[in-house]
Amino acid sequence: MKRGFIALVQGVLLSLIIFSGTEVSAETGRETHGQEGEGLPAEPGEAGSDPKISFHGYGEFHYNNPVVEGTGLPDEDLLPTLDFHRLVLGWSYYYNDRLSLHAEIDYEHAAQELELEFAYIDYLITDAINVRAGSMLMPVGPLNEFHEPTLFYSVERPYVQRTIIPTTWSSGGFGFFGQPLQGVSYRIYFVEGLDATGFSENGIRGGRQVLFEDENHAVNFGGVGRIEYTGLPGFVVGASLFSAGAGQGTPGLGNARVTLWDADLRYRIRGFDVGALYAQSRVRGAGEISDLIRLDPDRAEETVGSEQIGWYVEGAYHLASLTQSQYDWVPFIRYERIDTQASVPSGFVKNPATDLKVITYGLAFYPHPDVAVKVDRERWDDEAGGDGNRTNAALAFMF
Amino acid sequence: MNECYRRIRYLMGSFFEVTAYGEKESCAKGVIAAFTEIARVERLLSVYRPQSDLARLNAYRKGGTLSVDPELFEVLAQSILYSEKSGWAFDPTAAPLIRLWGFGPGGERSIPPEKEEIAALLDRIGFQHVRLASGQIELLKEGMEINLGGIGKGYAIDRAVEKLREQGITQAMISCGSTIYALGAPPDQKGWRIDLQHPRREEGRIGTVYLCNQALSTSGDYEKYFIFEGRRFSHLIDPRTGCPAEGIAGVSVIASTAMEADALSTAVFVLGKPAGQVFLKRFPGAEGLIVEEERDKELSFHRTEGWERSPAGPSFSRRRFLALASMAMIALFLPIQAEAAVVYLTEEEALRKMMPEADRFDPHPVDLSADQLAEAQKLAGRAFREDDYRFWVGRKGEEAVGYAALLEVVGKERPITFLIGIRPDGEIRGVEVLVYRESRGSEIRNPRFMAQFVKKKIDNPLRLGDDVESISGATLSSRAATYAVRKALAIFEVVFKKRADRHEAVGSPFH
Repeated sequence: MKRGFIALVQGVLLSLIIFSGTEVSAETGRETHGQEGEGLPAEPGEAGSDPKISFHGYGEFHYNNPVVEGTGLPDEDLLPTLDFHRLVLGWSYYYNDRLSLHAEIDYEHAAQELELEFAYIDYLITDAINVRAGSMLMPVGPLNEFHEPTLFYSVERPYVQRTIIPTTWSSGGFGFFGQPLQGVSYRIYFVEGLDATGFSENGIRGGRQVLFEDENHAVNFGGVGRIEYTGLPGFVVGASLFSAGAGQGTPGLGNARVTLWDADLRYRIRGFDVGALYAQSRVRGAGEISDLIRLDPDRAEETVGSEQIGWYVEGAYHLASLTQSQYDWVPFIRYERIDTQASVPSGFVKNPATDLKVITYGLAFYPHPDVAVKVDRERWDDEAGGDGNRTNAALAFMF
Repeated sequence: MNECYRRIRYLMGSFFEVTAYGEKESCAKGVIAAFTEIARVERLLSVYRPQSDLARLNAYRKGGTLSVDPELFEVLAQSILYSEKSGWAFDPTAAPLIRLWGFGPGGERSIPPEKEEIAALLDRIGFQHVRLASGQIELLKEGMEINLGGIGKGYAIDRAVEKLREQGITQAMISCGSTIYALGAPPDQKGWRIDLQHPRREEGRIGTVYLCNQALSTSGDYEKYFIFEGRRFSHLIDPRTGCPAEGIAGVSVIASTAMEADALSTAVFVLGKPAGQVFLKRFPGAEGLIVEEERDKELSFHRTEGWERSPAGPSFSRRRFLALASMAMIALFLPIQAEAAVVYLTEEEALRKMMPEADRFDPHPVDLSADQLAEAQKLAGRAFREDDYRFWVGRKGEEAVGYAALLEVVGKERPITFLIGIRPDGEIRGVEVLVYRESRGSEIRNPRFMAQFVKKKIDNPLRLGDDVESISGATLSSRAATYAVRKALAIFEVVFKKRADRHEAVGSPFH
């Protein structure tokens, strides 16, 4: 309740800021809806305008209807739900041409949960090297940094990029980024590590730390980096690596460490959009971590895998490139494999239910490049014989 | 209101850029006065106008004295002073040599001229063969000619600075090519920040200086040169030997006037390091940074004592990377001054790149009427208010070979400055990013991305994902570029195409 109230107050404050921001810009004549050209959408910003502060955001409103067999889930978990999963408000402030602040606040599940998505300062030096510091999105996988819901076609984010790469994942630290060569860009940060006490048989996702003094343990730091090649229009190939200690001062976990890497590519050409990703993590000290979490009587059987592996391939087609319409329909299909116990520490037994296959197919409709209506169906089955499906729909937008 | 006011004009065969801070109106007045003054100096020093004093003098060739304009006489007297002090290393009579080596107008070459050809010319080169006395000038040898192109631009800058001062402007910068004068400093800064280009790496810098009531000029062998059998022959020719000076890659000189900086940087380049350093000491307030190139192509950097401390290094070593990285960290904790973001190309560079065949670029400001604005908005598919745009017409002789538009379109949050080149028939020639201001998305500079726009016309869809593929991770910037192209074509269509259709002559929108 208290969190919800704080979220509400924050929301009101933020919208006041946005509102007053609009007034200011109207006063200085930067309002862009000219009297001429009525009926036409306004140009992004206005040519020559140079506002110091700008707002952006995105949101996704989900309908999920799961049918799961063989899981023993209580019945109420199988009823359809509506969830305003995320409403994110962000802003950038430019102190000058080199120094800027970027922040986003995430009101999750209809503002029941409040999260600082990121808040960092960029200092631009040259193309090849620039500095970033603060709470930053980890550059791992293609989605974590660019996760606006209009950038992917499914209602939910790909499983691999939730389970193996724990999107949305941010951490505190500093680092460098830039483009040393034409088409090649990199990010490399020095950041706080994960907290192993949050790991589970479903992977490392629970180990993401909140930058809140009562919950955060900043004992282990490490590095994260990503390199991308975007030299061909529509094409990107990237690779990421994260490695940091994860014990965070918990007795017995001094040895714990997570190394996570991924390789991914995506190519969009003549309306076709194909992509693939492979991600793998290794958890050192998984045995000690498993011993620790088993102290919880509800989790006495649970094992943290010493290796997690996931990959997917996907394809989509933009019908607008056939119809030449400004409305775009995008049918898509994705096949994923996720195994959060690809190997287990010696002396522990693998739970076959953690080895999943997922097929997701559906249709996304874009009335505008920044607004999407999505419908899809997920079918999954695990090695333990459980299977299920889920029908989803979403309204997604960004601005 | 302290505004930044910036204008560019094509004069004396180059682009002059004036930036001034102050009240908009007085800045505008001052800048007009400055350009008018540069145009006057152009007439005074031109060798191409048949009626100019210098043209008449050069036509005279041998024998006889000629009375010249007192101001021209002063410039010549000052030149001869620099020439003499440098032991004739700086020489305004060297134009025939420059032409022989293929660096003059017309005739490029890729192999050095024969020794005999050089020797034949040397006889009539040398400022020592020019006599100046009481307002009169005499050329002592047949076939001599004087060309003040070398320091004329510096002189024009100095004169223009005077005009700015007269108009009460105290914070301004005038630049032309590699010569700059900084009047005062920008608001709240210690000086005008100038980054010095690395002589061998196109995007590298060898240092930064802050200028306040000072001029800076750079001479580099990378500006114009050809390579023959592994040797570099540059346009900086030693008038004493008749061959390009060697051993130096670049020289930057700070001096109290732009003309002096111009003359000294050329002279030091020709003199080489030891003699150049001694020579500089004879000019109070003059400081230099000399980049020497050894036979093994290693560069070494030599500054005079008063040269501002500036980071320099010939190779991108690990140490340099660490230094850069720690600098970057320190920078976070220092007061940071507002300055341009990443400027990839100046307008001049982009225009030249876009239309290499043009010999000049006439600025053509566009002020859309209400009807034109409405039509342009319809063609562009977006509503916008701005009715003032900067276009250029690239000309070869009188023929218009192309048009260019300078547009700013917001990417995610900040405007991106584009220069869009359009052929007279309305096809895109090319698109360049001049300034990028955000931390993400500058990948759109990729030539492969920009090449997608070439030959596009207003009736193409020009839509991302349709006939233009975006750069992954730079969708908003890709979208901004696509819209900028569409908007430039829309305005071009409304302003230039319409007129051309009416007059059936795309060539001259002015007449």
